[in-house]
Amino acid sequence: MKNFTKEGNVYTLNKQYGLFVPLIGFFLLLTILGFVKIPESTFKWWMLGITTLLTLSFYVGFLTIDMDQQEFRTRVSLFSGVKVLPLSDLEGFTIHKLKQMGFITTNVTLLANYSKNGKNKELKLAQHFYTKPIQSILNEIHEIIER
Amino acid sequence: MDLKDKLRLEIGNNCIAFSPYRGIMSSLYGFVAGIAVTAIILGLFNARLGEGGRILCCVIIVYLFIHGLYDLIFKLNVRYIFDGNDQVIYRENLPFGRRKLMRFEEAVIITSSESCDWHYSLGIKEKQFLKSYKISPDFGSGKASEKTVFAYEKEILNPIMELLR
Repeated sequence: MKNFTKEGNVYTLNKQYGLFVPLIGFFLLLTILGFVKIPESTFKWWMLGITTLLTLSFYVGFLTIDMDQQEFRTRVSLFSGVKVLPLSDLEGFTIHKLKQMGFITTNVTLLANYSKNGKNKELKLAQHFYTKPIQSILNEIHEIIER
Repeated sequence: MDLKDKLRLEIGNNCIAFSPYRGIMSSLYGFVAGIAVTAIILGLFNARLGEGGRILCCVIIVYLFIHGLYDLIFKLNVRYIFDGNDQVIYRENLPFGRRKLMRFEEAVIITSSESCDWHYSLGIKEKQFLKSYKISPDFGSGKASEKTVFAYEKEILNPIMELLR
């Protein structure tokens, strides 16, 4: 499996370097630029803040599929707790693509659909800059949960 | 007009064929009307429009013309053919001929939504989010749309799902 690491019956999504390295790299560049070129403004602190938040988010975030407990466990952002979704509640998946000017894709997100108290809800599982890695992750998720 | 007549549905001989884009006929008429109205405005009020107004009218006419032509050639007559004998799905657009898309066992049908409207799409298993083909008209959320959805699912989608099994 390309995207998941297996330990017994628990599958963990590999760290998505392809998403975070360009993102963190870009803001790191802006931070350095801020410190060197515009030392008088507060810009450099904003950039440093964003870089730090992104890096922490990267290390703290995870997605696990536990086939023993039959559930998804994921931590989406720094400030949210661990969300648990039982496989029996899973209703389907949605892929959300954000396109600029109608055809340049800038963000693709994989969401799991479920219902709570009669309302349709979504849980974010993964995101990337383009569709190919998300399609690959979804294919492997299907493989895992259908086994 | 009945949905199955509008989309030129043909079921028979273990094959299902239909043209999902035929519904844009009305928008094409709208484009022609738009061009006519803008041309009349351009003709009658030429002096009063001023430089900017004249350019705007010309841009509108050119845009409607190009968009209409594109839809007419590349979309209106696109036809999807589900051949049960060969177990293959073809996409046909008259001046350009027929192209094989995928085999029956690779086919997967998903719903796709774009700013409020949704439609059914056909894709290749494990690649459906990279490239998919729109196989239904756009459905909104009102009562009239519900009827169209019901008609589409009854006349076209269910027979296709049966055939693909």
